[in-house]
Amino acid sequence: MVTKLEKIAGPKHRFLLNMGPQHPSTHGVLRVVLEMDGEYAMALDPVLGYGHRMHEKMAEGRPYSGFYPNTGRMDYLGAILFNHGYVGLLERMCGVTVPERAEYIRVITAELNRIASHLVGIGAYVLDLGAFTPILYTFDDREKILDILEEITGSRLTYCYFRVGGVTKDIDGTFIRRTRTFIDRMRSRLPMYRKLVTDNIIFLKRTKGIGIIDRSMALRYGVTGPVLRGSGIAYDVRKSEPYSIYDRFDFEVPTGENGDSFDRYIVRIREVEQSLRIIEQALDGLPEGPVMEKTKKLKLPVGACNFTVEAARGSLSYYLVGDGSDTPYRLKVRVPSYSNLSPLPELCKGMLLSDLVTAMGSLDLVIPEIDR
Amino acid sequence: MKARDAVLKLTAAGFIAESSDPHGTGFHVRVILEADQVRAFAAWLLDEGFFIDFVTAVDASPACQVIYQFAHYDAPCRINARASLPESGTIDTISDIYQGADWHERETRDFFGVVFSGHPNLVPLILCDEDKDLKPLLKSEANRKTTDKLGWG
Repeated sequence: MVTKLEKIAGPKHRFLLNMGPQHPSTHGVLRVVLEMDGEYAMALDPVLGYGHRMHEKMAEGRPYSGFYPNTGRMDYLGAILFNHGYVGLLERMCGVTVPERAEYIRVITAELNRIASHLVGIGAYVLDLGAFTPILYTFDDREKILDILEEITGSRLTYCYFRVGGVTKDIDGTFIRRTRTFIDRMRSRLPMYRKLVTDNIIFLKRTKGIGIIDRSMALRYGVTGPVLRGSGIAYDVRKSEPYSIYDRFDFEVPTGENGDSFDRYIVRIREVEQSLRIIEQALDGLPEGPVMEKTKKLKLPVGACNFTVEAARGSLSYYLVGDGSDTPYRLKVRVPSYSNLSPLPELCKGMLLSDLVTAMGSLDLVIPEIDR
Repeated sequence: MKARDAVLKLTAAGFIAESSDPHGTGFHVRVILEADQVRAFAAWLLDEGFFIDFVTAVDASPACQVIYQFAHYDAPCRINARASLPESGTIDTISDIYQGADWHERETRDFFGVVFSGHPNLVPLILCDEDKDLKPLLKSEANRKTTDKLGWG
């Protein structure tokens, strides 16, 4: 593509621009080196690894139970969902059954965590576009979830609540009452978000038609989660390869139409509604009983095993190779943001810098998850 | 595509494929590749509309194993493939077929030193430039297990 500026001044006027690693709209220590032509980004090179901690090596150096806290420290906004993938993997490998009540509690807390994560995603995204107020409202709502989860998990952010065979602590009447109150509150807030953000003409103009991901791009890069569903593809691990007890609940997989930044935003909003539906059904069906199966210390069987869950940002896979000891021989964590960010150079080539912020923000990235 | 159809089609295309119990292993189809088949395999997957899940490696003796995982948006069909790394330490890239493999291959180069021939930009991704030959996930001689002991006899 030859731009107007290039026609006048030739190719020499291009310059490099460093976006990050400390930049408000990269949401963490992501650096993108841009080759700029005036205000257009003609080439992009994301630079990763600033927050690299080598979780996969840590997993190989200690018995499987020592990795529980690590799972909550990759995607810090959706920690419970990462807990879920890891315990699910171990239970599948070792054939551990989980009490019914624990499965229900897992679904309730995981969906609460998903809503909390989407609320940050939505608020921070609108903040990227220059609107400061909505993030204050979303953080207000999220605060209610953090209070509820803090009561039973003991943490507000990096949860480590699930164990092989169940969860660490049972929920009580207070938890159920507070969660039901939250569901009503959240439902009453959604029309307000629509008025404040979704119907806002400036927001629409900034996001419609920007950063379109089509099916071909999605499968070549392995895009999943709300970013994929914005493109009209109803792929959700909870539906396609149901784990835990997700097949018992009635919920929809919201999709967008055009695959642009707006569709990715609206899918997250609709997913909040669907998560509320799941939580409501799970609370209604919550059985009595124990929340932890008594298990002996496990030996991880010889062979490879994979477990995939739908994390807040997409499909999260744990792939473990066991050698008969209690320590994983190899643990690979496939994180959704990594694959969702990788199309960026193709997606944003030739874009205005301000549109690039729109497109990148709509991917809802969590950088420590990408760097691991 | 149904898992059973995938096995039949893969076998017809000349790959060693067998079905696997998703409740036991987490994937529907297991494929064992020769190192020179990876590009043909990736091209077949793209034709059939699979998306790339990840590429990684597992250090073992006698050879490091390169792992490829793919899944499908429309049907529950997760394919896990593994290829033994030749002694040269080099295997063909699939990053021109699946552009998403670009980063996965760079990461595998960082962690294991696996060289993906034909990769346009095999520079460190996750590790910094000074640590590019660290290969942190390679096992020590004492800890490296044979493929038999990992269930891949």
